Amino acid sequence: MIRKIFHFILQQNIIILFLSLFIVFGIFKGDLFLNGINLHNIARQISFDIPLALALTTVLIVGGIDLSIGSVLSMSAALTMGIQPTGTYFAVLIALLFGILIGFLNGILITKGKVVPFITTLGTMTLVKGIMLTYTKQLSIAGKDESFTFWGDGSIGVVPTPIIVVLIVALILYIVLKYTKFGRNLYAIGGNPESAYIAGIDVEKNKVFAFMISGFLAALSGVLLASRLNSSTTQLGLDSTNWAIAAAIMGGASMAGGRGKVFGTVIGVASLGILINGMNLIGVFTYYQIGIRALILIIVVAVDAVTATRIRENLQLQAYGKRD
Amino acid sequence: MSESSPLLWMKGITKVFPGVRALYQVDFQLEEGEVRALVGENGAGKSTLIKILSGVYQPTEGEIFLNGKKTVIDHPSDARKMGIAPVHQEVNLEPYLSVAENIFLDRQPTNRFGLIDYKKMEVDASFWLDQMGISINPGMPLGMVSIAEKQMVAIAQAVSLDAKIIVFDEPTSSLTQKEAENLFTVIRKLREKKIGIIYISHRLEEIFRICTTLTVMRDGQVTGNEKIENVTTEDIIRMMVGRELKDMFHRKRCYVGDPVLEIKGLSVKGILNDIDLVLHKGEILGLSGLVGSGRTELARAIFGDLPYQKGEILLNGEKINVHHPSESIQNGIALIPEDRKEIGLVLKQSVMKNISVTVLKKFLKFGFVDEKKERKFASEYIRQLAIKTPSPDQEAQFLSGGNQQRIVIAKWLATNPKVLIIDEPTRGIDVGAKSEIHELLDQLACKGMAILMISSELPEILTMSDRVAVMYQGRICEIVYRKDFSEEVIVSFATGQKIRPLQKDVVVC
Repeated sequence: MIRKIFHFILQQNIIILFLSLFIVFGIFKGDLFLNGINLHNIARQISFDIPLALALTTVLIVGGIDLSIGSVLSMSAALTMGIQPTGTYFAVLIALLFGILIGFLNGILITKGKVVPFITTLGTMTLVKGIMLTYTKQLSIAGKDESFTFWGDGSIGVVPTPIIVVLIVALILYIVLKYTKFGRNLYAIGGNPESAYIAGIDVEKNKVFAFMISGFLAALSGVLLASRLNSSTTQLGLDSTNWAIAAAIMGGASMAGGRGKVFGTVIGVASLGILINGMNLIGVFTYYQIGIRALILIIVVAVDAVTATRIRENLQLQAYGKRD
Repeated sequence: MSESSPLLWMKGITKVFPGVRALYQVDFQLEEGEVRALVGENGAGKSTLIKILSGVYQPTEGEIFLNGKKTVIDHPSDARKMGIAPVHQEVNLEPYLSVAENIFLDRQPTNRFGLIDYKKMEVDASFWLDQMGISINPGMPLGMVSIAEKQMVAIAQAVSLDAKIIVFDEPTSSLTQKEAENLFTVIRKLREKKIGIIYISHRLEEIFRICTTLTVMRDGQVTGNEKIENVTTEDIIRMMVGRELKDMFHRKRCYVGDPVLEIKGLSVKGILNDIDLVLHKGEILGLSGLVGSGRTELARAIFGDLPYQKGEILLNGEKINVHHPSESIQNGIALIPEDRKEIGLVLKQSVMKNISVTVLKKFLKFGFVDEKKERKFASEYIRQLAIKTPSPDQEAQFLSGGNQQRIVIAKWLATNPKVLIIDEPTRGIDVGAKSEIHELLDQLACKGMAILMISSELPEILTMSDRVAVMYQGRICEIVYRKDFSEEVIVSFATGQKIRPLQKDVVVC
């Protein structure tokens, strides 16, 4: 019984959190919170965080972590703006390929170089940041093609374009993770690498692909942000990684690997988006907000660590209990 | 050999690991429709042979022929493609994926868009689970089912592969009688389909029931190939054990003194149940039982590594509270863990540093380590325990298994313990080195140390122990005294076939 409740909460906690945040802010700041313009803003805001959190979800599932996504975001934004004079969509293509390339590099270092994901991506994070600062000469780059802002700043009807783009990407990722062998293999690798290996899964190749997906999604976030701002700045993506980790874990992913859900992560990002928005409406001082964000990340990761241990112990106890 | 080439022929297989030769010139054959038992003591090399067959290890020497064709099995996926299906142990499954997904890992049925067809997968899984005679919801996460069911899932995975060779490694160890019967029915069906089966088990009565032929291994070599109708239990045991009694180490009988460690009513929720145990000065108390019976957990609880809810631990008549290993070490309790490579040793550090790590405080001079003193101290232990190393600075990884185990023992002796708990003292150690470790333990006992020795190897338990505590399902179900020692007695208690009302541990000397 306890196990069932436990399981249920594990599955649903993010939706409960999301709804309660919605209700709390709806009651206390209903006039400001529940109006169309505000909701439109929240939707636009979170659409830049969703790809990052999905990037993290993918690598967490396979038992890794990717700290380089923030840097990849800023570099891909810089490329999108910097190469725009040559061709708007050519620039987008280069930016996305750059993200995939960094993901590939991460994957190769982790699988062939046997460097742990944390250190590998910490390294590439700094590397990419260096490349970005060199490339931009530490300056912002302004966009030249006004029409390109449609993707980040425009709307289709009342719905912001970027959220549509991002939700389509999320849907594709959902299908890949849930309905393809490749996706299921990622879960298998993160859940029990030994088991995956003896089942004949090519663990290394699949890991590399997971990191390439991560790089691609981070770059996509950069492209959309560049479109939204019609410029790139060196400050983009600075603390996005923390945020993405928190959202992914709230959505059901685990630092221990083998778990993670696209839908959960999207709701996780939305919950955090509502929280920020709500704090702004209530008038929480910006610097306090930074502290609160950090606190959320720490709490979420701690809860994840405790639950992971609890699940393991529960399984053990239960195994003993049923031994007759 | 028959005139047609056999289904499987592993020829002259040798496998060397650093420090240990696990297999030497092993020949192994399997025909279609044959159920070949593979038996031997722990460490005889059965698992290594199977890992080579399933592509997890590469042989150091030797060749593998499938249907007479020479084959190289580089990777588990190769083995699978060639129709070799090992049944994995339940720990080698995916806890977060569903039962059905575990059965069809990496070969899930797909629809015409190439997407996984969960419905078909679960229907197919149900089919195989029915064949096994178990009814669990295939959509359930594997982590939620019992160990026995997990074992059946692992079997379903291998059987559903449509393989030519299936390997069962101790498949019944966690199954009930009824589930085991279902498994035997499945095996008979597979046999009729001309599938070759390798069946590893310690339970000889099972082997007589379902196997057609038998291969016995001992110390990494094959010691017998027989038809099952030509052998008796005694023959098998003789081939397994092989050595005459005179080759085995004989303990000096020493004086057993006062109680040192007393455990009263120790319980850990769901794992240990009301454990009473007394350990005396100069005694070696064997702790026997199947894997999962709570042996290792009992050791961890005594050592303060596993919190207990009820009961007390007395050291020299005084109640001690152990909440953390560091407190136990101060109290004079040392635990030498089973897996010395993982937790007992720092392989890449020198012999000296490995020995001195537990007592580094002793050598501090103004907060810095006095290396001269440290070296002298370590050298003394190297001499005492006859550790074969060119110098105290040699890295531990280059020493043999037996010498590595000595380093681990030295490191804990350095803490000057009154009670020594040692888990599987000779696992993965060559036969020769084994008796040397045994001699060492005997000497320690004679010097008055109280030793609790956990071991899965019955000969070791029987030769080394003064008394044997047998555990079954988290309880100590019997204390066997030396005069009653026999493999049969201990096995029957350890497998729960014989359960006496709990009797309190009485002091006999």
